[in-house]
This record gives sequence, C-alpha cells and structure tokens, in this order.
Amino acid sequence: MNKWVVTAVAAVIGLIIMSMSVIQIANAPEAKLLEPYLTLPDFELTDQFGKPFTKADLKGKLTVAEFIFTRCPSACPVMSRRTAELYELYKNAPNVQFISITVDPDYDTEEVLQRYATMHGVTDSRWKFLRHPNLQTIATLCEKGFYMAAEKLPGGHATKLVVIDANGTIRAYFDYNDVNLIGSMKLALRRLAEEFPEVKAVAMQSEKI
Amino acid sequence: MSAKVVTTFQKWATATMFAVYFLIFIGGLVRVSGAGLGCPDWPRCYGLWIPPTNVQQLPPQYDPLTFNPVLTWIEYLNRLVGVVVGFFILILAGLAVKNFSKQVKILVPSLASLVLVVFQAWLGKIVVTSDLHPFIVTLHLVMALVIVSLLIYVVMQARELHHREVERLTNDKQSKIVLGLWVAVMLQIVLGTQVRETLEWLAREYPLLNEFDWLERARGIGIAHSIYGTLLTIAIVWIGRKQLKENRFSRLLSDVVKFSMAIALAQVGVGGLLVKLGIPQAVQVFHQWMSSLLVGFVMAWWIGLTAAEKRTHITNKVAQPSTVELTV
Repeated sequence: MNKWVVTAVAAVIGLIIMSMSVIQIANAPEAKLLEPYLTLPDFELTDQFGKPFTKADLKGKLTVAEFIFTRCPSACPVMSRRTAELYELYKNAPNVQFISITVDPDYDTEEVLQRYATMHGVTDSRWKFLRHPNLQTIATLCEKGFYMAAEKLPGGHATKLVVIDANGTIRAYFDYNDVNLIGSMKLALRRLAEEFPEVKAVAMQSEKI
Repeated sequence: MSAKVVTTFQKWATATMFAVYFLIFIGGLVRVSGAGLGCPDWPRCYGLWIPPTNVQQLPPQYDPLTFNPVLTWIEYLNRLVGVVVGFFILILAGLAVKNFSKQVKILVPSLASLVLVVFQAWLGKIVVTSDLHPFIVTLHLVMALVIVSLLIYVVMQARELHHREVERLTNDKQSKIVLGLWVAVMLQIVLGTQVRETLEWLAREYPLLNEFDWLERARGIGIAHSIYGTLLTIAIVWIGRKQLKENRFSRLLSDVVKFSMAIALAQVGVGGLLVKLGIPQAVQVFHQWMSSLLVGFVMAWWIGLTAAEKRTHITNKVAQPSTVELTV
C-alpha cells in the first residue's frame, strides 16, 4: 500500500508540473511594460466627426493606438480586426480607448472613416479614427512621437499596437500578428490599471451585476 | 467461472478506471487552459486528422491569428485519449458480456458505461459546436464522473466475486447515508463549476480588474461553495470515523473510507488556497481533479458497504435458522 501511495503521489505531482508548464507555454502573454520615459509630444488631430482630439484626451485613460489607412490591403484589416476584438472585450471599461490614426488623409476623409468605423462595429466614442490634413504632420508624429518608422506613407506605415498610459506615456508595443496579442494586451492593461488607481476606480464602478 | 477470468476482468476494469481518471485530468487541463476551441471543428482538427503544429501547416481557410498550436494539441490530446478510453470500455463491455452475462451487477454497469462513453463523445462534439456553452461543458464533466463511478462500481463488484475477508457490521442500514454523500459530492462539484463560470464571466466582462477583484464580486456563490464544502467534509469525516469505529471493515473498504476522508479534507485546504493565491491555474486543475477522485472513492465506499451489509444480512439470517428459510 505504501509503495502504491508513493507512486500515486509522484504521478499526481508529475501531472501537475506537466500541466503547469503546458498552460504556461500555451498562454504565455508577454507584457513587460516599458519604464515611463517615452512621453508623447503635443498633437492636434480630429476624429471621424471632425471633433478635435489632442494629447489632453489621453489623460486619465488607457489608450491603444495604431496607424492605419482604409485602402490598406495587407496588415491594416488584421490590425483593425484585432482592435475590434479588444474594443468588444473592453466594452465595460469606459476609460480604455482605441485610436486609429490614418496615414492616408487625402483618401480617408471623415465620411470614409465613419464608414470604416461602422464596418468594424464601432457604436460609441471608445474607438476613434483620427486624421490630420497634412501627411507630413502624421509622419512626424509617428516617427518623433511614437518612435516608429513612417517611410513611404501610406504603404510603409508601422504595424505595432501601442499602449499609452494615463499620463500620455508609451508603455508597450505589440506586434499586430502576435498569436498572444490579446492575452498580452489584457495583461499589460491590467497592470497599468493597478498603476493608475483612477483608471481602475472607473472600471470598478462600471457595475453590471 | 475461473478465478483467472475474474482476475483478468478486474485488472482490465481497474486499468480502464485509471485511464478515465487520466482523461478527466486532461479534460480539466483543456478547461483551465482555455483550449476548448483549440480545434474549431470536430472530430477532425482544422480539417486534418493530424492537427497542424505550426502556422505554415494551417489550411488557408483558417485565420492564422486564432491558431495556437499548444492549445490545439491539448484539445486534440483530450480527443485521442478519449478514443483510447472508448476502446478500453468497449473491451470491458465485451468481457462482461462474454464472462458475466449472469452477473447483472457487472454486466449492466459495464454496458451502461459503453453507452455513456459513446454519448460522451457526441457531447464532446456539441461542446465544440455550441461554442463552449456552459451547460454543455458542465454536463460533459458530470457525464465523465458518472462513467468513472460506474467503472468503480464494476471494479468493486468484480472484487466481491472472490471476497474472503471477515467483516462485522453493527447494522445493515449504513450504506444509504453514503449514497447520500455521493449525491452531495456531485452537487458540490456542480456548484464548483458555477463558481468557475462566474469567475470566467467576470474576467471576460471586467478585464481591467485583477483576480482578487473577481473573487470579491463572485462572493455569493463562492461562499456558498465554501460553506457547503466545509459542511460536506465534516459530514464525510464524521460518518467515516463513526463507521470505522463501530464496524470491522475489510482492509479495502477501510482504506477507501480513509481516502475519502483525506481527499475531502484536502479539498477544503486546496479550495482555501485557491482564494488566497488568486486562483492560479495549476491549482484549479488540481482542485477539479481531486473532486473527481472524491466522487470515485465515495462511490467505492457505498458499493463496498452495500456488499458488506448484504453479507452481514445473510450471516445474521444463518445465525437464526428458526425464523427464516436457509435457502438464500
């Protein structure tokens, strides 16, 4: 009996360790937050309804930003689909917002952006589509503000999803085609919510139960 | 029927039981790791019999961004082990028909487990096609526990065929309460699945909060599960101790009772640990798996005790030949 018990216990411990490592490998979200050094410069854009959107609109919220254009054939549809997934996930978190900045302002007029938003199921102001009439301004914002390449726009735009904290500081970059993107994003935003109690307080209040 | 046939059958039934327990463990792993939709289709996986191990092998109609090879293979492992278990049970049922067609207590549960394991496979398909509907997922687990209980029933009944140990029971009405414990344990497991459902729902709806916030919001059902579990454990330990003290059980039965008591106690501890540590996944798998062990042990307790009562009953009758007929 004793030998049997020892074997059984060893088998169970082995199974537990195995399962732990498998779960670890399966859902290995990488969410190392950057130190808060990369503060965004001031900027002035307008959303798909022509309303201004500035750096002040980042205050007190967690923001996921991306650069896209609606005619984009390859990366952007996937990026927008993933953002749409996140937008749906955070429907009870009014202080998590998404911004998609167009790198093709000549084609992407307000009307085009509105259509694009509707196509991705946007029903409230948590996801905004931003533009600036001058392409050079956007290129500068991308390169000098977000520290991402912006050569040969619109085709050559960066494909990262950028996480910005409640002070308007860049805290993480995620590859749009990372398998664990959603998991990593959730973890990063959760950690930022712990760092910014005012963000978490709003999340706590959004009662639905 | 020769003793060898009985022994072979008993060994096969025991092996089947272990295989089902391993399968339940893998099933728990699927649940906790979120691999339930690791294969979007059924019975094949991404349209293949051997699922892809990397994105390059993925058929073009599937979205590469939803593909996670580890989750895919956890889910597929569950199906593969399920097929193996199916064959184990098929052979068991075959042996039962061939050798024990007169022993209803072995034949019926063996055939029932075969029917149920086929149903369980079909249910596994529904789990996937229903997009992990909570009720179906819970039913899939309950079904597994019923199957393993039936197999334990078969194992215990096969052992009874060459029972030689001397027992002494103070009365022959103790088994009913143990059956009550088995039902109570099943209910507690269903309650536990509801705690899980609630926590998963909260994690989905409130992704910005942390584990402790979710636990706080799931307080109502969480406390119900803890209190019911603690009371159930007290009942198991109290009844177990009382029965061990008042009767003389066979060594097997007394081990089964002791294991039931120990697992119930450990479950309360592990449950507390889950709350304390913020529901780590590995502990969840363990907690869930131990509950399936508890169901099995309490089932074995009930069967062992029922059989012992029957023997006691017969012995008592034999002891008083003047009142009853001897041709039992």
